[in-house]
Amino acid sequence: VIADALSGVRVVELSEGVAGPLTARLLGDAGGDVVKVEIGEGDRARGWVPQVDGAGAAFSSLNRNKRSITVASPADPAISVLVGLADVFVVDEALAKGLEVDLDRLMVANPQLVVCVISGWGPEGPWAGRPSAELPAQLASEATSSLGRPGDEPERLGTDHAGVACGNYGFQAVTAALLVADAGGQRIDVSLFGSLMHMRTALWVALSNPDAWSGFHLDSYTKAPEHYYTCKDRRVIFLSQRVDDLKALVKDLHMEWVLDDPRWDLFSADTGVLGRHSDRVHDLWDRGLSQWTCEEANAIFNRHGGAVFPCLAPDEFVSDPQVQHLSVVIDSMGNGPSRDLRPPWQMASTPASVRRGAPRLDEHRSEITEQILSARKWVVASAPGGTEGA
Amino acid sequence: MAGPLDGIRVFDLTMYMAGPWAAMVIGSLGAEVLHIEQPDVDWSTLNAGTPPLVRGTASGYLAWNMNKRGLSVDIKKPDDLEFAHRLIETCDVFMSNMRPLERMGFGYERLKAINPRLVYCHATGWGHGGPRGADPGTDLIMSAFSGGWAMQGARNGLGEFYRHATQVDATTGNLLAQAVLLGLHARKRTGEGQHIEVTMVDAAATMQLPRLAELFGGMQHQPMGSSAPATAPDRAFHCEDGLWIGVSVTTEPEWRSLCEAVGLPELVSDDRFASNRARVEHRAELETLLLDCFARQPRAYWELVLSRARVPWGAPLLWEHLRHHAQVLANGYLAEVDTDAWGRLWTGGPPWRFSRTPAAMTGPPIPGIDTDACREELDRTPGIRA
Repeated sequence: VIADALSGVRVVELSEGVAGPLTARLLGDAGGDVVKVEIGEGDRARGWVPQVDGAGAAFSSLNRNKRSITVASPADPAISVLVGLADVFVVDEALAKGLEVDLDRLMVANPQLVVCVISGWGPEGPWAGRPSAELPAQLASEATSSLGRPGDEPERLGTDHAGVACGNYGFQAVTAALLVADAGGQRIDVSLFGSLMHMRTALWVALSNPDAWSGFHLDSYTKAPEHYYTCKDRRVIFLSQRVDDLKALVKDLHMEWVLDDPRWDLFSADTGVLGRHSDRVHDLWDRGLSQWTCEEANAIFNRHGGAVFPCLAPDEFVSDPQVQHLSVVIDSMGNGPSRDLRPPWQMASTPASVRRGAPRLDEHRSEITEQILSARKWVVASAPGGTEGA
Repeated sequence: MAGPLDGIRVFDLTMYMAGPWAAMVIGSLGAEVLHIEQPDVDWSTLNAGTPPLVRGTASGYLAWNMNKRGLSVDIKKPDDLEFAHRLIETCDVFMSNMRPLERMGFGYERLKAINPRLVYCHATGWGHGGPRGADPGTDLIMSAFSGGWAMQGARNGLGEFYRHATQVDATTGNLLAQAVLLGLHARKRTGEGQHIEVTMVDAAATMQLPRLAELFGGMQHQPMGSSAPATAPDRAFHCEDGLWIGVSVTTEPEWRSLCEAVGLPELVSDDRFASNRARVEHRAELETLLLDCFARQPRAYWELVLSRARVPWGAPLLWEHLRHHAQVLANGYLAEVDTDAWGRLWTGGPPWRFSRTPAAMTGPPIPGIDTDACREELDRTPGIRA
């Protein structure tokens, strides 16, 4: 019986923060056996807030399905031995520089090894090797230009968008390379910057040679900030692009007064959420919608080809009946917050799973050391002149 | 050298953004992707026709259908449906983000009977069943539903929607591409395909993974401008010349380097700032000190100083910088593809660099242009009924 898509795949992770740990965590979710090697006090995300059971909450989710061993520095010979036994090595560029045995030699010693290097800016160019983080990647890729107002303090995306996207791409690249690893391993590079550049692909095409400079993709640079709308019972957004008769809709919403408002021309031209003029007519919609509950307003919009949807706060999202129906939020295992997210793919015959919670620092030293010791002879014998010192 | 998925054939029955994106990614990895459109379709309305158009074609169609062959199949016609099924017999992967697949003749059981090795990957908005199972799933709806808006925006403001509402779709597409890769791994072991589903709900949740984990850990998020909730100092600072620079300190060595670099070495031994936890707790005092400090020099000064100190920094760039930027060009983070119908298009370069099996970007197909060639290939395929 094959339990998981990647069961038997051995992964060594020497990585911190979001991107590298997420790459390895997804490999673990899909069945890979992940050993997380931590330096000194451990992954930086252990120190992030809020702290739960002595580690940052995000750390616990990003590092489930892993075992932990600490070493004093990236130059510790144990890393070379572990990587010599592995199928995959996920490593931060900054930590790879300090390895006792460099990546090229590790790949010679283990010809089917897939090495995934996570960097801030990519392996080439003037910024190669320059440290980065979430906000620098968001700013440089212009991802922040779809929030806030030009000239004001830039606004970051609420999530660690670069880190998560890079983790997703790292996982894609590793799984793709593993499919052909029988013919030889290889080095993969992914970066925070490159990941966000790719996530914005639609904009680069739209900017190539657009027939007109208005339109959804390009307007996102110049529109004002967009906020939620308010029905009688809750915050909402609405879809109005396919409303066939706006006058009939506003009549049914009992907001005929808007026909006489001096802003009617703006209201009736591209008025919807994220419309070109939405900031200038937002209060008119709010006044009309406040007479109805979300459900009532949705029924009225439905009659005219539109729709009204609730706008939930994050805590409402995770307890929403649909989210519960799907079991997107699960009970977590081990340390950290009591809840977590399920693996994101529902595979009928090789389901992904959470088999263990995030490790305490160095929790698995003895069992991993035993593995290293029992394998040491094999590694030294088969490595063509490189890892002898290991 | 071909990409890692060279030799893999994909039946791409997708529309709008999330599905086409996934198949575009799979195509970039070297698979042969057969993208299905209806015959005689109006190019301006492809992929929801979201403007702007580029030479009369929806930019979303061009962006999300790179790396594919174009087929026209009218699946409502029995002959065309049979053609599609014969094609699926030759495919390794079926991908779709459409809903009535059973009714359309592409339900899992039917396709499995045609090709038991088929990896069948389906993206849905809300999964199956439940109170919202039948609701439409658009990027904006999911962004509103999943709460991301409440964690971003001006400091102490109402929260803001991300105006380029494509990122939940792109993330859904990335999960669907992952599903394809995992399905191929499983098939290597079992010899059989399987049904794999991803939902936009999972994608929206995954996208916000660090924030939701913090929520599960008891944190209540607010819009914080450029500041990060979990780390400090980690925000944009206004420089003397009116420009902004983002500075992110997420380790203790970076903290010590920052203090030295900005001329505030005494902060290293200040108990209020002795750890990330302490700095987050005293964020207001810390940011006041640093705002004052950064306002004394122009951005170019800080870029140099922070680079030397190896403190992570970034400055806002825009398209006109990026398309010429040495870092972008050196790493291929933008790709230029030449097309007959639309001229030269820019697009995102592959987000991964493979040393042995390189990924690549090719232009989108004219809808339907490869239909005849695919029919002829099929007629020549042994074992496939002509």
